[in-house]
Amino acid sequence: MKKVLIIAEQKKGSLKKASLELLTAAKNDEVHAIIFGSQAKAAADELASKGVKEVFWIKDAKFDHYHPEAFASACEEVIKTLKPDYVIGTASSQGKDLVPKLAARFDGPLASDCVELSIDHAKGKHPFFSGKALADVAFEASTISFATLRPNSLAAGALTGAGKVTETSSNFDFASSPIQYQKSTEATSDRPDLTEAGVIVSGGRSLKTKDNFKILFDLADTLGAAVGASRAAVDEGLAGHDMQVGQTGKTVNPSLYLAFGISGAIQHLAGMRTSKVIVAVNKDPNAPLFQKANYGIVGDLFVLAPLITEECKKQLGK
Amino acid sequence: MTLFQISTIAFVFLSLAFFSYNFSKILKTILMGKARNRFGDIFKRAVVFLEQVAGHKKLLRQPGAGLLHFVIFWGFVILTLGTVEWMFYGFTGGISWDRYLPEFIYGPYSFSQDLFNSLVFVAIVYAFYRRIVLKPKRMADNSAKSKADAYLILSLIGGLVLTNLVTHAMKIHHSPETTFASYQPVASFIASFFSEGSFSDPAVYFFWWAHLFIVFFFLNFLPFSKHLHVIVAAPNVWFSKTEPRGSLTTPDLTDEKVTAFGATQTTDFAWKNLLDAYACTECGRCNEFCPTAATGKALKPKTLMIEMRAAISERGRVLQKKTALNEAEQAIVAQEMVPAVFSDQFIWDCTTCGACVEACTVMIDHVDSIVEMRRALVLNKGSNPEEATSAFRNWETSSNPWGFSEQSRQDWLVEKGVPLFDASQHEYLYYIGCAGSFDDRAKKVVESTAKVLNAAGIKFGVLGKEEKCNGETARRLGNEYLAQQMMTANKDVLDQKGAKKILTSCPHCFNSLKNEYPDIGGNYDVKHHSELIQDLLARGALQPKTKMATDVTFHDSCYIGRYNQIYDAPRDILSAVGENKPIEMPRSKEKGFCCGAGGGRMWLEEKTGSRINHNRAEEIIETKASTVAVSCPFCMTMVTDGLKAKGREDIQVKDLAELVAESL
Amino acid sequence: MIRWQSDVSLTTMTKIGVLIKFVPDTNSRIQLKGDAVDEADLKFVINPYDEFAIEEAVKTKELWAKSNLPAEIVGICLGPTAAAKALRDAFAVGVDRGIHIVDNAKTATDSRSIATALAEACKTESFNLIYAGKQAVDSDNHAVAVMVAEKLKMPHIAVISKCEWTANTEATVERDVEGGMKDIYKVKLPALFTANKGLNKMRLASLPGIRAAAKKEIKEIPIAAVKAGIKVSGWSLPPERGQVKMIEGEPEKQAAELVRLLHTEAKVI
Repeated sequence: MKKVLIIAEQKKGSLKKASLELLTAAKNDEVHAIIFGSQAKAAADELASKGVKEVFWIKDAKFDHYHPEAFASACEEVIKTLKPDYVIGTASSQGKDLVPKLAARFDGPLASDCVELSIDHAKGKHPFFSGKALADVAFEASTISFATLRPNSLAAGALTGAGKVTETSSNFDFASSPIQYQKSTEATSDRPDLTEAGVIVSGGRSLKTKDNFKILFDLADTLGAAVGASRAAVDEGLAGHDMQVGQTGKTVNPSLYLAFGISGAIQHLAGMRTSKVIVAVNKDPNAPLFQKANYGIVGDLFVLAPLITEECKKQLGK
Repeated sequence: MTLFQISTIAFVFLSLAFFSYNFSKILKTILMGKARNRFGDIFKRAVVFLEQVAGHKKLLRQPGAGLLHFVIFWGFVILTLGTVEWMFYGFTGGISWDRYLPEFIYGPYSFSQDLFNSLVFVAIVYAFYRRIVLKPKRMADNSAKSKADAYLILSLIGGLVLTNLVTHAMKIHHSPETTFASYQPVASFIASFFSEGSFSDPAVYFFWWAHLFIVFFFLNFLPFSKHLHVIVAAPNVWFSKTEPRGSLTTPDLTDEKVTAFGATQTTDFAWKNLLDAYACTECGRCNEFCPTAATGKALKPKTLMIEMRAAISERGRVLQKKTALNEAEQAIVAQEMVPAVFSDQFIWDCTTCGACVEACTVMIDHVDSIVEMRRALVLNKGSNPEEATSAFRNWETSSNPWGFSEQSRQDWLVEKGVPLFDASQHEYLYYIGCAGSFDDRAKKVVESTAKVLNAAGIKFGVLGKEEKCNGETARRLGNEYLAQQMMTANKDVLDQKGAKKILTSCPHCFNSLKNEYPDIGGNYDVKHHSELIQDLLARGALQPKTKMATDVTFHDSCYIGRYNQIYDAPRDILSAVGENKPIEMPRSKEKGFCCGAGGGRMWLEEKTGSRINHNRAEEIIETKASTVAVSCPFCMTMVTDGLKAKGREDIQVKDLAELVAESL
Repeated sequence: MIRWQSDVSLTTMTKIGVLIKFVPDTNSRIQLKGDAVDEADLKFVINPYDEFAIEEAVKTKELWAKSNLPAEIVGICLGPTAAAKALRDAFAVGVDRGIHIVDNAKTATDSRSIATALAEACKTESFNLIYAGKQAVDSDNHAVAVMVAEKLKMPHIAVISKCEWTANTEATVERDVEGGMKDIYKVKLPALFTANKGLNKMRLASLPGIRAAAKKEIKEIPIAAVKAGIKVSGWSLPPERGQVKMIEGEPEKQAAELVRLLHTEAKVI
């Protein structure tokens, strides 16, 4: 039984599901947690109710936004007091920054972005080469070890018993820090950037009009995806040039690429062929993209796209 | 010595001196260019010279204008004799050559002058008619200055021949017996209109001087006129490229002393490029089949030449100044071709299709100048269109422009059991190229080619994942450093395998391997599959069984057609596998319209004007053929896309090899 | 234009460090040989994210030069002998000199050991500013640069896609976070930034630049005594894409089946 400190995260007061996935990684261990933000009460309570022995809640409103030095300082205090064997976090934007910093501060080994993680067995799995190979990683014996877990890799978990929430403060001196947080900008659109998107819905010339792209936008909104287009669609004015995927447009690398009415000639392929899963929907059974896709449907995209959107909504419980 | 003699000598001397002064400035400017060896291959040069300068071969492609120019050109040559005699008359104070030559020589000579003065006059009238009434499209965009220049020249020539004829007419009128009137029908005819009584001496002298004056005014106007071609066109033809048209120069990039490459400023061009610019007569033939000119883009070959000449001569003049330069002049000295003379867009628009080079009657090599400017941008500044950067990167690391893994090159082909090349067993090394290795559509062409080769019993092998991209396109995009790296690596593989006969499916691979690799020591017998297949059909090694009943038209590939003069082989193939002969599009063979992908443009966005491939697709549609045959993977992609955009996916786009395979 | 901060003094030559890794090109096909990744056919290049770092360093140097602030860019690369090529390629676009931590024995294999070795080398240079890529595309750990900053006791902001200098020692940077949002920070030097896509586009090396690169200095140093704390005990390859699975039936059924497969089989929804 190890002592584990998890660095939990909350968004707008709700505990992120990914933080509960950390509990699965530490399912046989004594788990403590640290969570930041003035709005984090409900999240802290949830963690305690799910069996986390003690939740250190840094309540100060200055911790509502990520600040590498401040967060590391607060964690450092808790770690020094607690002396955990493992400190783990989500491989989120914050986690990928904070956990390495702490690992360096405490000179502990770090296993990043694991898709499998078991504290008990001191091992996990981590994808290399953009997912082209999967490595089995093992922790060498160390005073303190660190790890981050990729979201959605493990199921959300819970431990037995219930714990408590301790409101904690940090004496980090924000004023004299060389880093001064200014503000956060909203995304220019609700949709993620094409080149970094995990899911992309893409349309070709068969959409016929700019308005018709709406059926793809609906699907994208349901999946939290970005929307792309083939060059032919862009040429016809159905989509903006910033949406063009392909040789002379953007190169994308999503986990899921849904192509509607795109034939998949080499110019387009060059921009999206590294997608992990490719779905092709086209009324032409000879469309080249079917040769490169994981799943294919020969049919009318105008009928299928809305149906798929509905099914996704059901699947995601929306 | 008489006043007449003195004044003639003085006039001629001063005119020639003034002309030499101005022309030497031009000559000096041209000689500021970099060295280029165009002094060998005398026999080849002589043949081209005779064909084009004496024979007007390219000019006569347009019969009306060609004949007109033929007359004026040969007229000038013959009338120059008369001009020399004219000066002799002046220097000697009135002696003509009939004093020394017997009648059987001087008579015909007189006739020749009379005849050609008249023919040239008729030609000038026709020239005015063409410009004012017919208004050829290719001259439509000439500037007002250009038009004024042209009208002045035509008027001067008209004046030249008229004053000549009138002077002779006056002499005939004066003393018909001693002036070989019988050999000068036209001058005599003019003389018949003169009333009784002789002309006063001043009147005759007036016309005599008028003629001499016009001759030397004309001569001295040339350095400032587009008509300078009178002097520089013939040399430009003589010094034109004798190397294969499809081979670009191979600069030595390892020379540590050379720190700048390509043409950044006017003086970075080779002297021949500079001469090209001076030889341009602004006729516009280069624009007629240019794909960028036809689709509203910035680049027009004629504009390229006109602007080059203006920049070259202005900078040349400033560089020759002996006095201190003012600020404006210093700016001219510092001026770079891009962006001061040409925009970036202009330089990158070019598809290197060579229609301009093919059309140019004074043998200007526009493509060469464009590539030199591209080289300067890429090598000196690392500047290129954004989209080209990933193509460059991919060529460098993966040896193909799309970035597919090098190790997977031709996996699919080897899996099908196509053998790897073994020099002891195979006659041909089938060099597939990047498209055939990775592009699904092009793979089908390779399969068809393999099927055809097997049917004919040709033993061939491929290189598999050892095949490297040959570097042709990187070179056309100006990245000469990368191109030479790629060419050398590829050549090493070919040599190591002992390749002697190479078959290609792609015209760009074909052109480079055949015409450019010798420059780096790679010498192979290279064939494009259309050549080989046509040969096999002709020999009976292939027996087409089912012939295509529907109409087919052929889209010439620039690099098979214009660059390598292969026009008939594809057509012979189509005749052999089709019931009907292929339909000829209006813009075919040496006038073939580019698909738009050459010059590296396959990897670039077409952001301005209309689409080149759409333009071609319209022409294809108009033939009403149900199939269009191509012989290049680039053309395949562009034509397919173009037809799709026009909503005519029903028109099949097939490679020649596919049609032959289908017929077996 | 840079506004001068009169209360800050700089050494006469500012040093900008760039952390560079030599990694297999992302288009490479990854195969296993026995227990390890087969490196025989792999083509190695500068880590793409490090290219953004290099370009930003060169741009920063050019910017400071406009205010007569000389700067020197030093590339730091840990890797086998062949990795020196990464430094040469970096030189071609403007990095001034390099330090090559030679590690042919694969001593440093995990984030901690690599970061420790890099930090030791950086300590010999006293950098005022360090740029790095946000992650290396072979190990995808997204950690080394941040760890280096910590070991050097330098503040850092990672994953930046914009960097604007408000003074010669202060920059306003935009950090990319989830959901397409950006957190904006003002940072005073010394500091370390890791670059994300969108920060800039690395310039193409000119031929004079490539020539000059051959003459620039690379100092080879042996790797510090480090030990990996995370060991790779085995490898596996994901299944090949294989044949496409065509989904038949009525549209409603097809849609339902597709989503089911994407959720349960492909696990992407």
